[in-house]
Amino acid sequence: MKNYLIKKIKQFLPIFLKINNLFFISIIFIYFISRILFIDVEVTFRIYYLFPVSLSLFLFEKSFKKYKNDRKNLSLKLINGLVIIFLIASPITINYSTLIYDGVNKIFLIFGIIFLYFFNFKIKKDFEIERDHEKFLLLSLVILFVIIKIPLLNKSFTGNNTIKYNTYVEPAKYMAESNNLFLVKIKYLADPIKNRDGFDKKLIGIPTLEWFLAITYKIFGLENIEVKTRLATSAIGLLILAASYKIIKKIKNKSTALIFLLLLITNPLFILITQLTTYDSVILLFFLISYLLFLKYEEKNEEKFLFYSSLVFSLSFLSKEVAIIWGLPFFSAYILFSNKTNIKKTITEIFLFSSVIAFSFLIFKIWANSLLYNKLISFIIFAIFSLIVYIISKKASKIFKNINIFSEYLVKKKYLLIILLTILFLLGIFLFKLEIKNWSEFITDKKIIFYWPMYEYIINARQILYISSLIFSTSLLGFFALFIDKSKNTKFKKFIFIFAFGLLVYLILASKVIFFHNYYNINFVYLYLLLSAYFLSIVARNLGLTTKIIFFAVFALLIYKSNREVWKELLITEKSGFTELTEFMIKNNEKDNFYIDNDNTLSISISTDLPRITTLNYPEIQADIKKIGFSETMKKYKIKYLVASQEIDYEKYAPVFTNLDLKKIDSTKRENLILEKFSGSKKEESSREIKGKALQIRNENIFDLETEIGDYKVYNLWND
Amino acid sequence: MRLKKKKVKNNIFFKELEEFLVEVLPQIIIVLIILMVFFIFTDLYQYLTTELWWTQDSINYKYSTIFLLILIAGFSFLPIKKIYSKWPRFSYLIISLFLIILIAHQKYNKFYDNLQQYPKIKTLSKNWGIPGSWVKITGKNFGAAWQPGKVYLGETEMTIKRWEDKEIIFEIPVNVGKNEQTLKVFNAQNNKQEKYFEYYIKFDLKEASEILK
Repeated sequence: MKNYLIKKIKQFLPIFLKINNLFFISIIFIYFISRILFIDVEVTFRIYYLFPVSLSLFLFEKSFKKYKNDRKNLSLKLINGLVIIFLIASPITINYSTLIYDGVNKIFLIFGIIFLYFFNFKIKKDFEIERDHEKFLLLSLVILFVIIKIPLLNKSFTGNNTIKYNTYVEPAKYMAESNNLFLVKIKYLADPIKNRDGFDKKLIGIPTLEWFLAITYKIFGLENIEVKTRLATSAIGLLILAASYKIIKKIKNKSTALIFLLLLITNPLFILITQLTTYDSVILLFFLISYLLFLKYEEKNEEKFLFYSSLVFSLSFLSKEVAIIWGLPFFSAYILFSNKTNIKKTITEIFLFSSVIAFSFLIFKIWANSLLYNKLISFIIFAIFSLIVYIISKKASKIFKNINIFSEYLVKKKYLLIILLTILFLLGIFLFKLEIKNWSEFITDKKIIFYWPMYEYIINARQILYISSLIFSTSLLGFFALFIDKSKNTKFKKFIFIFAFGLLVYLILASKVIFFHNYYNINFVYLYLLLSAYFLSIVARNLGLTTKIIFFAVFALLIYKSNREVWKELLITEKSGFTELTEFMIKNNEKDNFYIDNDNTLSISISTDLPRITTLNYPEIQADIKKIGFSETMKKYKIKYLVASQEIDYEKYAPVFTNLDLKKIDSTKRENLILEKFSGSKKEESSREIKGKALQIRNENIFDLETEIGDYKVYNLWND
Repeated sequence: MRLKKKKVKNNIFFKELEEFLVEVLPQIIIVLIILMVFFIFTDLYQYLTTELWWTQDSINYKYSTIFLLILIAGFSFLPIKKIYSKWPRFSYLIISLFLIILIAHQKYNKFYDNLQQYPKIKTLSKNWGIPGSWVKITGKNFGAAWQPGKVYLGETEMTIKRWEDKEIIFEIPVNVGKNEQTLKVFNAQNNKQEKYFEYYIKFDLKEASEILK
């Protein structure tokens, strides 16, 4: 029976493959006629669904003929065929529109696959650029970065992400003014009752970005604060570029590194994160430096570099906790897969790396707490810590040897190793539980973990949008090319796979924040661009000079076309009347007057020094309104103006006029917002009482419109 | 040396590409033949069944796709290489024929689309009536429900009770003339149907009042 089946399959397979060839070519023709010539063809569009299968069978048939007698190659081709199915099918599953409607992207993808198909046995040698060319190209890339950045330097602190400026520029400004790097004052989060000056007593992370900004302000002065802020963030961008170039040159080659830099410089999201003041650029920089030091350790086998690497990594996650979610899986997997033969060394490395992280975490906690009570003690702790760092780095090799002996002992006595690992694991869980209160803002939970529509949205609207579907498909091609790359240098492959693994963990665990904020996706964009650059460098290697120039010119044009709209929306949007508004506010307010920010996006507290609030829901204010009336209460707490660039949401302010318990009126949580978006269910409507009150406030003109400045409306709260 | 190496690499690429094209070209010719046959048959079928004989309102693309697949399977047995060896210029003929048929297909599409701009009446619920009675017209291309047109009996406009793309229901008003009248349907673009229907009005209201006297 089995033999009979095989016989039948052998008989019918060539016929089937022949039919498939015709079908494949027909689909291409039909596509060309209907979508490019715009002539109707009477077939259902579902025919395109069969395209991936058909293409891979088509290529399989071609190789089947060629390598009929060479069984080894045949199986490889079959695997290639499967990868191709995965490749083309994945954009369809991720986003139907990326493959069906984006014509250029699709054509590129198909040609790319055919190209790789012809070259899949030839990716053996790396292509090198000559030294003079390298210098010239690097210089022109830096100039390009500067040219892109110059018109953006003077943009005001408005737009979609204005609150980010408040978060970091404000404390840095007060640090520079008071010459005190430990003064954390954030007026945009002031409280009219308990904390009128906006001092922040909690130190969640090391304020590296604030320090950097403060030093910049100290050196260049505080006037034209926008330009100076952007100078600092652009400098971080330049450092990221330099670190990336060094790393990729080390793990791959110069051509890939240069193309990658070009893609990164022209990427809207990268320009955004080096424009905004966010920690995402800082932690990316720290991660890159840490990895660079790790590479140096591997290269020179000097233990102090491993120590430095772990120290810089600790700095990154102490600046912003998110870094540990993708950094730790990355480094642990990297160490595990680097020394396959020597287990002792692996154990030693893991031990050193994790102990440095744990040690610096503990030191930081003690230091941050002591800072509140006694500056001298905190300074002493800081000094001792620096001394320890210095000593360890000097005697790193000796320590390393001792740990090595210890791990040798551990390998011999396996039960000890298991006990130690369990203790480490439990300690990790304990620390995690201790910190989870801070983390619930961004760690995923039962409701949304593995909720597919959310991931789909993230990939489409937060990642593909910012890299364009063209680069997305080239990055898929790059990923495919990794499998057939036969060059001896496997560092690049290892980096990509482990980085992707780290990002997968990140995507699952931190999906809540990745969903809401585009700048959290810079790591993903980094990976996509790297893969894309790798593929483009393979293409460049196999083309003649003229074709190379034409190819890159066309590619650049296509990217420019698809990036243009995203650029406009991300970077050019500005609200009019901002400077006039700040002048008005300074003129008409006393120094300690509060203002209400209706839209949650008004950063005038930086330029006016006025403390900001977003809501009136304080029990004290509620009680006073009942006693002395609204405008008197506002005068008592010195809340003079309400500034809005959108329609006022009266329901937001209504509760304070009612007898409701304000603590129960809670802001909506992130996970519920995500589920609302996809399941169609709307958030609970506010009660009838609040609605009625909102209508009353509106009709009685309790918020009195004083002036309109540009896009902004200013309401006076002191009028009776 | 470097340049030479590069050239060798490029040559391998183009050689493989050439081999590939030589193999694929006959298949492309077959596909062109298939598409030609497909266009001719589907256009003819569409015109006959939806316009001339009017057995269906529009053709189902699912069935035409299956037809295409059957054509592909059938033509895969065409001994194209034999034809090639006997008549090498066969491909030029096919390509030029294909281009002609593609243009014809496009012209036909325009013609057919233009036809769909005009309302067409298939049946009337009855071909006579009296003032106040309701009449149902079935057909196609009347226009969507939110873009109703007009219906005239002779010179009088009818009151529309229901308007859909394939169905109209109207009421005959009192002031309509007696005896034979032509029924005309206009859609929202003011396009009139081409074939007229005669509608017989049994009596008008004046006559009825006289009888009642």
